Amino acid sequence: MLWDTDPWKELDRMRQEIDGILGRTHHGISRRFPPINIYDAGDDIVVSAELPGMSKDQVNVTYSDGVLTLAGERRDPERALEGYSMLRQERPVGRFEKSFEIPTKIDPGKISARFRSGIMTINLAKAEEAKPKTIPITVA
Amino acid sequence: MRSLIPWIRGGRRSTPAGMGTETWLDSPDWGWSRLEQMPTLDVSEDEKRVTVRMEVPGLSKDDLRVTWENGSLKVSGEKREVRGQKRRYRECSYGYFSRSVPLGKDLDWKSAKATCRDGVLTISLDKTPAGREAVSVKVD
Repeated sequence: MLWDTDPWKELDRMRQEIDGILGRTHHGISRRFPPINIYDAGDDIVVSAELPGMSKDQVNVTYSDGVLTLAGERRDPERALEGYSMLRQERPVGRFEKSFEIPTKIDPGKISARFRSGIMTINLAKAEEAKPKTIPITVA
Repeated sequence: MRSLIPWIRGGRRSTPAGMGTETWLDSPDWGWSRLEQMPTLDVSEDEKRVTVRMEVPGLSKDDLRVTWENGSLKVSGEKREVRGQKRRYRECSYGYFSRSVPLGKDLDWKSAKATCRDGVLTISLDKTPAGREAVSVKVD
């Protein structure tokens, strides 16, 4: 193989890009929502997701078979108020579901999440065999 | 839309329908690479006031600067990534941003109230008596 990426995954990624450009999909709001970052913190994989205006009970986080899914619905209750009108609307509202593969083997029993200033941070502990190891070298 | 000359990366462009100008400064791996990734905002109104809600996940009030000039509200700040972990994947945007929203002169800027909660900056301004009047336009 010339490159080591899975062509099907690559196709799926392209489809997601196109969905993103088109803005909306039949899944609700853009597949791009929420934007995420993934970090390697040594013993943990850390995922941060930007979910401004939401609280922890409005987002459902699930992990299954190496795939992390963030799902929920973002509402703006004020939009429904009487005598209220939107002059400009850029913030996405509606249902969303975003799944992505976690690149490392993790321990499904050790996942924790916290929510602060509209950012959800999810800590996934790496499986014992995936943790970086220090091999002591004995100098003879 | 990127400048080819690295030291003047970034730029200014008018958005359609006179909805204001956005300035963004970007760098190859560090910044708001596209206009669509600027902090998104909603503008709404009711009889008494106009409210702007901008998404600023991870930012606190000390990171933001809100100014009013000639009927335009300007919000600027810097969104910084928490460093120290090895980043594997990134969708979130960082860097300096500045967005200006023309709201018209019939608002009392002295009444402006701004709060920052759950990653959403909310600014509301009272309408002046002139701004509250609904103007009916005669159609010939």
